[in-house]
Amino acid sequence: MSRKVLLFGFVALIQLAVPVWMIVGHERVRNEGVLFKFKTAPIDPRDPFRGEYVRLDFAAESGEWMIANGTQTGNTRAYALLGTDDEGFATVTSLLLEAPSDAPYLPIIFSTWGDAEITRIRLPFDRFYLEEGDGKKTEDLLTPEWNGDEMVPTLPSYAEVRILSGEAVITDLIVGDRSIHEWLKEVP
Amino acid sequence: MSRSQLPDALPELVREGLISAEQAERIRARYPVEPKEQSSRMLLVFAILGSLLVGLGIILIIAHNWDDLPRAARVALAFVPILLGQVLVFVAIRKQAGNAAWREGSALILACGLCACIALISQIYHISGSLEGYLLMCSFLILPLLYIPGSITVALGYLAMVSWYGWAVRFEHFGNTDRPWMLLLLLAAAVPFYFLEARRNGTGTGFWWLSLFMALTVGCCGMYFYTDWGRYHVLGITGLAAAFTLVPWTHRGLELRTWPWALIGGSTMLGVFAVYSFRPMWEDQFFRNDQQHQDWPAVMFLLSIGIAAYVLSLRVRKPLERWPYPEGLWLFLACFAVGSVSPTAAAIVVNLTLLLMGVVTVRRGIEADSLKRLNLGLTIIGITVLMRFFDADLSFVMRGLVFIALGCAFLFMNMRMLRQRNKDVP
Repeated sequence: MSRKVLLFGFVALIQLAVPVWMIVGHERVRNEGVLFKFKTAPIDPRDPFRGEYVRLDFAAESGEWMIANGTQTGNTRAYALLGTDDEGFATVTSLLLEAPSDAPYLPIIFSTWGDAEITRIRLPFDRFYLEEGDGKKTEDLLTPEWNGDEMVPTLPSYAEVRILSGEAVITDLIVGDRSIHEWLKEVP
Repeated sequence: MSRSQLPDALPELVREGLISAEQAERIRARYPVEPKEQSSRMLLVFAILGSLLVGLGIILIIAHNWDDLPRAARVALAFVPILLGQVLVFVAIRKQAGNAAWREGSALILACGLCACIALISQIYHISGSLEGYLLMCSFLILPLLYIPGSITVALGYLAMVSWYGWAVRFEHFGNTDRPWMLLLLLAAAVPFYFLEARRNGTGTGFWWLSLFMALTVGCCGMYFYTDWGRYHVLGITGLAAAFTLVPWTHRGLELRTWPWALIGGSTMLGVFAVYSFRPMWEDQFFRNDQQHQDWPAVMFLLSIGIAAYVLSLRVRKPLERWPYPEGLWLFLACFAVGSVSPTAAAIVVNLTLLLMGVVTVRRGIEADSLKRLNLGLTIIGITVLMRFFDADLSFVMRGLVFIALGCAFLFMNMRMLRQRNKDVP
C-alpha cells in the first residue's frame, strides 16, 4: 500500500474521530449529567449551516452578582455556580473566576464597563434546533396574545439541561408540562 | 504563460500589432491544443461545480433537521457524507491518480461532508457553540485535504474559511478584543501547499486563483490583529501592501502567476493614498487616541515586513522599476512625518505623490507599450484630480474644464500609442 494511501487512512480516522469524540462527550453529559430546568422564552432565527432553531433567552441570565477582580472592561470568562429556586428552576447563585470542584457549574461570559456589579451573563447554550418550519410555530406558541386590552399570558416554558463537569446538553424544551415536540404534532 | 493559454492570447497579440494574422496561424499550428486537453479542462470545471452542488445540497438537506428520526439514526446519518467523501478520495488516490477532476471533485465532497457532519452533530445535541468555533473545527478537519489528495478548490475554500474565522473572532461579539492567534497557525499550515503548487502548476489558472486567495487572506489576517483604528494603523497596511507589490520579484526568471499579490497590494496602496488625500483624515479629531499603544507591535511588524521586502528587493529590482507602488511605502512614511506637523501639508504631499505615481505609471506604460498600464496611470491622475472636487470650492465651469482636459488626455495618449504601434508594424 502506498505511503499516500496510508497517510490518507490516518487522516480519515482523525476526521471520523473528531465527530465521534463530540458525540461521546455529549452522550456522557446526557446520561450522567444533573438535570436543571432553565426558565426561558424562545425566538426563531436560522443558522446558514445548521438549520432552524429557537434562540432561548433564559431568566437565569439576569440577576445581580458581584465578582472579585471582575471590574475589568469588556468580555470576561467566569464560572456560574448553579442552584434551584423554590419552584425548582435553575438559578445562578454566584460567579467565580475559578471552576468549583464540588458543585454543578457552567462556564459563562459577562461584560462589564468597570463596575463590580454584574447584572447580565451569557450561558454557554442558547439554541434549540427544530425541524424546518417548526421554529416559527414554536415562537407563535410562546408569544403572548392580546384579548382587547388584556394580555393572555403564555404557558410557562423551560429548557431541560443536563450538566456534568461544566459541560451542558439541552435535552428538551418544555411548554406547560409537555415537550415541544408533542405540541408541534398538534399544530397544523 | 502556459502552452495551453497561448491560443487564447494570440488574437490580442494580433490586435495590438505585435504579430500578424499569418504568424498567429503558424503559432497555432506549431502549438495545437489537444482536444483531450480541452475536454479534460471542461471535465475539471464540471467536476468542481458538480461536487460543490452535491456538497451544498447535503448541507441543505441536513439543515432541514429530520426531527422524526430517532437520535441514533440521525447520528449515524451524520457520518454518511464523510464516509462517501472518504471513499471517493480513496478512489481518487488509488485508481485515478493524476486525474484532476477526480482529485478536486472528491476532495470537495469530503470537505462539504465534514462541515455537514459537524453541523448535524451540533443540531442533534443543540450545541450553541460559536461561529468561530465551528469554522475553526471545520478548518482543521479539511486542512489535510490540501495535501492529500492535494486539492486547489478545497484550498480556496479553506483560505476563505480561515479568513471568515478571523473575522468572527474579532467582530462577531460586541466589545470583543480577542485576537485570532489560531489564524496564524491555520495560515502557516497552508503555506507549504502554496509553494508545492507553485512548483507543480505555477503557470496555471488554479495557481492564479490560489495566489489571489492567499493574498486576500494574508492581507485580512494582518488587519484582524488590530483592536482599534487610528492614523498610525495605516502604516502597517502600507507596509504589507508594499511587500505584496514586490512578490513578482521574488521569483525573477521563473514564470509564476503571482500577479494577484501585486494587484491586491497596488490597489490597497492606491486606496490608502486616495483616502489620505483628504485633509480631514490627517486631523487628530478623526481618530480615537485611547488604547492605541496596544496595536503598535502589530503595526510595527507589518511595517517591518514592507521595509525588509523593499530592502531585499533592491538586489533584483531598481527603484521605480515596472511600477511605483513599492516606493509608495516610503512616500507614505514621509507624508506621515509631515502630517504630524501640518495636516494641510500632508494632504498636499499625498496628492503630489498620487500624481507622481500616475505619471510614473503612464511613463512605464509608454515604455512597455502597454495600453493597460498607460490607462491605469491616467486613471490615477484623473481620480486624484476629481477627488479634489469634494474638498475644493471649484465652480461648475472650472469642473467642466477639468473633465474636458482629462477626457482629452485619455484620448490623446491612447491614440498616440495606437498610432505609434501602427507605424512600427511593417
